Amino acid sequence: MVMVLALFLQIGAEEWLAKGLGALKAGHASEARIALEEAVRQAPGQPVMWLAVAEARLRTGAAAEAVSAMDQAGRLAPGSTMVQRGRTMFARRMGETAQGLLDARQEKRAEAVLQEAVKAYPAEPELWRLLGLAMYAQGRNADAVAAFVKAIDLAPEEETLYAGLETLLPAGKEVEHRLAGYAARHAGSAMGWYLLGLERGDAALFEKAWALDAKFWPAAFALHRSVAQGRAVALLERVVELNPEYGPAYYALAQLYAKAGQREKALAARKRHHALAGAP
Amino acid sequence: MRLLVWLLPGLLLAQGMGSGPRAGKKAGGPKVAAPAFSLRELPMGLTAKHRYGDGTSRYILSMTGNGVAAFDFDNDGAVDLLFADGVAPVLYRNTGAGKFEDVSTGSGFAPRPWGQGVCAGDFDNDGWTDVLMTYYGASRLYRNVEGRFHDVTAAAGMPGEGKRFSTGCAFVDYDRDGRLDLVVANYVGFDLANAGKPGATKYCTWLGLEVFCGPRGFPTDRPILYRNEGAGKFKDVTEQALKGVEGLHYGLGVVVSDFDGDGWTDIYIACDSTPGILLRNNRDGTLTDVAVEAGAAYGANGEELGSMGVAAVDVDGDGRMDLVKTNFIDETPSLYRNLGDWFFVDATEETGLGSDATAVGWGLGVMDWDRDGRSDLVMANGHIYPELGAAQKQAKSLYWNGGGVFATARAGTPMASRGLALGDLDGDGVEEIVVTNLGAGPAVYRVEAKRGNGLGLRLEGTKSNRSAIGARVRVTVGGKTLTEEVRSGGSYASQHDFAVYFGLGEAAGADRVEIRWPNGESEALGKLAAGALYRVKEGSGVVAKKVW
Repeated sequence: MVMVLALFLQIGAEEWLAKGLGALKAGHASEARIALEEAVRQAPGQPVMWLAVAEARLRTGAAAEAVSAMDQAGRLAPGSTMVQRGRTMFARRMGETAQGLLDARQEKRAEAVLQEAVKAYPAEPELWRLLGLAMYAQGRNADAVAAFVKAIDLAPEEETLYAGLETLLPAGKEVEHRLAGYAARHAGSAMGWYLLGLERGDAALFEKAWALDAKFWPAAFALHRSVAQGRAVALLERVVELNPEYGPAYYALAQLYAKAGQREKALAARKRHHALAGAP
Repeated sequence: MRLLVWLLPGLLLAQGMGSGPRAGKKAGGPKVAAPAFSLRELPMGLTAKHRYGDGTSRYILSMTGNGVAAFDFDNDGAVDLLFADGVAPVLYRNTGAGKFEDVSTGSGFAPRPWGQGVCAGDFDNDGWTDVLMTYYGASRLYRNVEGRFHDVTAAAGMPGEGKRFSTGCAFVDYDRDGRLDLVVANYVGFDLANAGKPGATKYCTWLGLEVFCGPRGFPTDRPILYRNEGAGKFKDVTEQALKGVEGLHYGLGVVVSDFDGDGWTDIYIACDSTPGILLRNNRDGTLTDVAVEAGAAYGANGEELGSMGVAAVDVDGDGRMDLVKTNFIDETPSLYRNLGDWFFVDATEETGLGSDATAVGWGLGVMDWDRDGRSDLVMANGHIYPELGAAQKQAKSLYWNGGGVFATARAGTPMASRGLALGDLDGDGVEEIVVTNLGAGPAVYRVEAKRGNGLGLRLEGTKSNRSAIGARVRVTVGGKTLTEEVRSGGSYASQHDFAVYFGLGEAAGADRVEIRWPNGESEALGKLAAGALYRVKEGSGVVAKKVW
């Protein structure tokens, strides 16, 4: 209603910008977009307005149009620090938007945003990582691996990007040589050896990771599957000592206790696991 | 039938280190070479096409499909078939040699939308097998009066209206008073008016597809236990009799079995996306959920499984009933080995049952198809989302028991299958497999294999309930003892025929057959020759024999 009235009153671009920014701040994305689109219609040569339009378009789910607005800002002020900063912030915003969609289990929409994002910002590894997540969430594992690899190639020393591959391993030679390279360059990283162990199915690498960092319990948890029962129990007991809230470790422990005939211990571990599982 | 991918954290993620996808199950396990076997579809004239409750498949209500019961409703000695259906039950009479005629009209079954499951048992001990049909709405109890069914729900004191989404059920004499009681599983708290459209919430998407909502996002429920008070009356005793069942479940398949061998029947309920329920019979009119402590609530990695069908079976020949469940895709079927004294251990991987994670499993049958003395498994499969198109249809799973390790095969025309019941439809001594299919007619299969010798028993209680549900039969052959029980319910929302069959291998007969009747009394039958179905009456031994 306010917008209709404003249109009728023929207010100026600056006022539309103010209204739009106010609506953005209040979380009214559609209202903000109407106002800001009107602002750039009246003053198409103002890069700051295009930056605001980009944000509003993104918030209304129009990722491609948002990128187009950001590009327009860049064309209008190619050397502007503000626009450069805006572009960087906008890339981050696209990532945040996609993450929000992923959290809401709207994987297709997240991917649509991210596909636009990586077209506009192909050198941003975080966007590729998120794209990998969106693809994985849709069951497209090969595509997901390719996106993660792209992210890794852009930032080969960024460990969290490798960690993204965890449940996709083993993933083949392309991934294996990257993991091997990372582990070699970061010989003190438990994560690197653990991931390489997953890729190669090599328990010795879990052992190595565990030796490097006694608190890196994923390696111990993975290792327990490939060692003798007594050692596996000791490993998992260490895992739950380090991570007393991790239910699956209790369940795995319960399985081992049960097979060893230690019913009381198994019972306690099962109850602890159940308590951590919580209500559906 | 769960949304697995987002529920199983990877290790790094669980440690707060991960930034990537989360773990799904990777199938594997030991292998065993199996003799040749195959699945053959048999034309038996079952043409009635499955119908959805509102003609569509928009809701989780439609996805669960329907069960089937194999039992002799007219006491002519042949196994008949009753199908639950979204519109009206369909009753087929076996006219002999495995040919069927649709006798639904005039059978007494009334049209009613959103039928789900069916279970059978002679609740009034008059010699005619009665049925309970479960619905979204209110379950209906039908009394069989000389082959015609009468809706006695109201007379029995059971609710005639409601919005419970009931699925699996079983008759069970849990208090050993000789009268069959009833246990009914309930799935989600569902209201058509608030069902939600595909994609409406995060619980209405799957792998990026907009699909029907649920089960997560819907309220959980708990099972109902009805006590048979006699004179046709049932009383809801859930509150006082079921201990430790907190109502945090999405219940589906039900099986009754004596898991601790004490002569008092216990109950297991397979649950979707929530822990399973194992009700230990306390022998005092109450049952307590001990699934968590017993190790039969979760999957091998401690995850909540998307469980649908269930069976009790002595997989390893130790005389204790183990548990097998069918589960959602990316999971595998589950096997909980019974170690005794209410202690189970997940043996899925080590027995090879974890070798196939590509099926959405529903109906489940246990049969020794090659009569080698070891119980094999057959499963009906089918994905839940019609949005998948042809990929919704999946072939059946066959698991041959090689003595501690199963060999698996997928066979049969891919369908979106749900219920499964076993029964010897053509009277040749080998059980057929009846499978219901979403949006299509049912199918009947037989496993073709080189078979050893076998025998069957059909029991009739006199002091115990007439259907002999809860009876345990032990057959000794060549120093080995095989154990089986007469059960109601089982599979997914279905009912296998009450007759029990045993594979004897090369032996010409059983060295000893012993029955422990539901009232706890034992009866020894001595030696029995292979190649026949024996009719046994409690206290009178074998009263009839039909040679194959």
